[in-house]
Amino acid sequence: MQAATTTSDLAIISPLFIVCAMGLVALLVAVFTPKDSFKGWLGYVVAFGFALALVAVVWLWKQAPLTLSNESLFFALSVDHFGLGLTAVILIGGLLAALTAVDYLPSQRSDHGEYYALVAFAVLGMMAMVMSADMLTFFVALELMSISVYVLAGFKRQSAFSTEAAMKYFVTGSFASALLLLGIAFTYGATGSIRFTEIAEALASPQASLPIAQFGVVMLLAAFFFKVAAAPFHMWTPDVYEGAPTSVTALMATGVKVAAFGGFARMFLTAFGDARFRTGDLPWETIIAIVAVASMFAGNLMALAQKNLKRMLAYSAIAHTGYIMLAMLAAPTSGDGTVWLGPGLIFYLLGYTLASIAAFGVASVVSGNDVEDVNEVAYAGLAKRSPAHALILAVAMLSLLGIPLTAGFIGKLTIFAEVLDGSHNEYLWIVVVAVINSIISAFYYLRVILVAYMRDEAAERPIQLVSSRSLTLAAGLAAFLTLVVGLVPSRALMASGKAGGSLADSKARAASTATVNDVHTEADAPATASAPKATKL
Amino acid sequence: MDLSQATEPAASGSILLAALVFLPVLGAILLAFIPREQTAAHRGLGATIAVLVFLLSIPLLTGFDASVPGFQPGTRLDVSWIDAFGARFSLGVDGISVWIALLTTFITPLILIGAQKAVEKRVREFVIAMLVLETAMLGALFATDMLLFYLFWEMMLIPMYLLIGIWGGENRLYATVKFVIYTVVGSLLMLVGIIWLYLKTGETGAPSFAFERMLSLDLSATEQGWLFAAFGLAFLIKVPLFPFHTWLPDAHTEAPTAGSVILAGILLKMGTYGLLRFAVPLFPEAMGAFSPAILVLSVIGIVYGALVAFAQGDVKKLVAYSSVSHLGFVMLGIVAFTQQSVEGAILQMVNHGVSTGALFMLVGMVYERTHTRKITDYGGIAKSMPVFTLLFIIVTMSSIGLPGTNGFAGEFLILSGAFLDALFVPPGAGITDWPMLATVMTIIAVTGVVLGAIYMLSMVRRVFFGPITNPENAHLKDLTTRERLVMAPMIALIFIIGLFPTSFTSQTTASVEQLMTVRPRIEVVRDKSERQKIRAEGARTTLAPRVGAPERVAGVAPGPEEE
Repeated sequence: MQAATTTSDLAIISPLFIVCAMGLVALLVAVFTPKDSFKGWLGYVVAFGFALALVAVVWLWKQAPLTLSNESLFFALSVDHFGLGLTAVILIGGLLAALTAVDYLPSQRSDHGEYYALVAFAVLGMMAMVMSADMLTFFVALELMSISVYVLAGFKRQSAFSTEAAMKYFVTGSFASALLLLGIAFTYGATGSIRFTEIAEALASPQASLPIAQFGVVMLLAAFFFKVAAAPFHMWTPDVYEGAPTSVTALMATGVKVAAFGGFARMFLTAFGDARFRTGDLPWETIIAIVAVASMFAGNLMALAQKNLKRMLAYSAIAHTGYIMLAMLAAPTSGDGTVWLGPGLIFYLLGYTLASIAAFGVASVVSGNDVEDVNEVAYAGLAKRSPAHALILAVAMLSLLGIPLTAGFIGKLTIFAEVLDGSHNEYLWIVVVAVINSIISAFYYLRVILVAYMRDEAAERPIQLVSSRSLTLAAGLAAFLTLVVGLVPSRALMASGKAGGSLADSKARAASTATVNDVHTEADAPATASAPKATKL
Repeated sequence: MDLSQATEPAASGSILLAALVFLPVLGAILLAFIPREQTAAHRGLGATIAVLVFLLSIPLLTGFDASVPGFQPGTRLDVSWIDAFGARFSLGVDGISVWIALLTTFITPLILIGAQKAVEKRVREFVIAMLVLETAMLGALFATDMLLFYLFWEMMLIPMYLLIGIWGGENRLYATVKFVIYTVVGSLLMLVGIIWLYLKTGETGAPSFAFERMLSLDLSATEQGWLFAAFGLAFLIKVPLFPFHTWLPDAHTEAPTAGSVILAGILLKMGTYGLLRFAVPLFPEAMGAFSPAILVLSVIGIVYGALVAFAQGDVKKLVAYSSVSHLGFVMLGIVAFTQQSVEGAILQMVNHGVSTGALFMLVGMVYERTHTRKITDYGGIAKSMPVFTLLFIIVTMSSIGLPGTNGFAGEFLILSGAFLDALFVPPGAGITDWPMLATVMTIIAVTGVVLGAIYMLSMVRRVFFGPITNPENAHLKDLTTRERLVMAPMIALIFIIGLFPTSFTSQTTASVEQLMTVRPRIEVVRDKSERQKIRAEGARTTLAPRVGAPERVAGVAPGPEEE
């Protein structure tokens, strides 16, 4: 950890800095370009920025965990493997989502330069969210992300659909933000701190006011459930996913979800991670288990009835929220209360991001020329019109369903194994519920393939395809990576495991810097070196 | 640390199995780059690749050492794959899988050559689907790592889904969705079972998906019961055993000829193969506990399948229900679990693949000419298609098990093996007692052979003989040279297996003997009377292993009632 201090603060936050700069560049350029000119090239600029930030993340990954020397930055951001790993997933999602928009937006008559600036700012918020180490940074990051996405959801200004989506998302989202703030306030009241690690310490002491903390945790959970679209906080999802421009939906389904899961997982596991709180006095784990089951059933059962591809994917996103939540149940704990994550959460998010981009990419392609209703007719017989897109769609559906050879399968396998292993089979029932839900989901995922490959309505109403290289490239790349990660998942699994395991370091990190409190330093430092990563997966 | 152990690069073994598994899928990728208009190229290249795979699979047999129990050391392959999981890319072939694998490589080229005419639209996708399917089937047969097996097992699903859904008959969408749902329900539950076993192996060293590691696990009776249920459901749906069979007639009827042949020829065998390879040796006590139920359902399947087949007016549906009946025999052989009956079951899997595959092909050939499958639309076509009639009758004889054909050898081994297992019935045994139940059920199963003759021969009579009622049938063209060439190897195989069955079963003997080592563990649970006897003596461990011999001495069994 001492060696890491050689990297300067600016280098450490360079991914955030690059993305922020690209957003500002896009915003400025957009102002000075003629109104009717093609703005798609800004998409490439922002995508390039994301790629650059990704390179920076990979560079930092090798040196992590990094310590910021500026004191206020130090307490605000923790640039560890967990944050960097999730940032990488977010950047991949953001990059591909930005590429899907390049030709899609003109086809929807909504080609405005601010779009790409907003995407960059949203991604910036997401990145900060998964790295944030205290409640306020977390809140600011979440708001930066949310407000950008509210605007993006209503980006197709001439469409009442899109405007309604933005309005709905904004109103319910603001409510969730208020709950989050309330939760932060109560937690602060109970513990006297906004930093995750200090909250954990304060709660461990006997003087902590548990009822107040409990109330805070419930508020935080509500905000979390809202952001990741978990039932019963999911009502906004179908309307917003359907109404928003498809390239925005792609970003919402991937980046927002990854950021929310990453940020809240860090918060809950660091601040409230003690096994005593997880199932005892602050039983957030039990609550998450119940909500996960509700989400799986609500998502899958509703998705069965959907004829609109985007709406179906919205409900499927709710169901996937349920699966991903299982990974939070499996967080292993060492004897001294240090908590970390297995590779399941991060790996699943990666697989889900890739599959979602591929699916929404194809949804953008078939909603060509201002079609808003991506129903079955829109892509029936797609395999004949455009075999490549049909194949991409099929790969995405198979991955979401969790058929082997895809990333989705390895993700599900990892999470199921983790939950069984981590809970010592206490949560076997929830794995069985998840499997039953996977079976239900086979109906609607395979139906998409069925419609694309085996139905022929296209002859009567030919599909209007958006012909776009960047869009096909983004979706194709996502599908390709889905298969690659599914076939040779070793590296991604190792990296996810390392990222999940690094959560255990946060406690030591706090101790090592609190040089004034010299008591903890020596006691905890050796423990962290050996504690994590001894997981089986 | 666990990971370091798993990452040791212990690559070993021959490349042959991997080449067999990957050659078809590489061919499929190659085909994807050829423009879709060049259908002749797709057909030719696809058939060439399939023939190549077949030629490549011949060393499996020539290099097969029949004296080795378990996986052949010469072809074993074990390389690292997903280190993080301890899952390895390990392939192997033994006496249980070798014939089914050869059947796969044998039938696939025949289909690709034979189905040239039947598939007119989207030829490229068709050939690709067939080749991917071949990869998946061979992979599932060779895999000795449970995760790898599961991967190939699921991989079979998608091409078959497309085969039925794209090139199928009118009601294809219904049939294909039904097929997939049944299969997925079974296989996902199996996944939970696999994960459970995987975590179990973690209790004694690094967790691993290796089949050998799982075999050495010590599982409690409850665990075995649930795991057997999870695995068994996946396999029994695939077989299909009686109450899970309803997807089969739909799938068969709607599938194109190629789909039906591959389904009957190989895919159904995956269920019985999986049972023999995985479910029985992994969970012998549970197999014992479930044996009576499976036995009864198999026999119901035999009789029910035969009776329903008799009532069919659609030739394809008739053959489909006959599959239910025939697979019931295979299941009977597995559940009786003697050396003879299991060898018979393996032989019968191959037989059924050959004869039912041939039947579906012949039905497909006549369908291409008449575009009807109704028996009543035919009648007297022996006059216009003499060669076709001859071949059809030979295959029919094989299907009903006439001595001299392959069907006889398989059914005889199964039935005699089952009787060996059942007899002698101790006096005073009730119907729920295993020996009694097995005897009664095997006797009923024998009637299935008779029923098989009835429905097949009656179908042959109505289709081929009598006056020509439908004037269109008077001028049907007989088989072309290509069609004869496709059928010739299958007809030859029918007689070769029928006349020299031991040269086929001898390859399986050693592996089946090894399998028989779990028989005592099955018996302990299955044969209730003996269980009570053992309990009374309090000497469970002294039970000597017996290999299928009827040593059971009469007169020791108390009543069948539970204490």
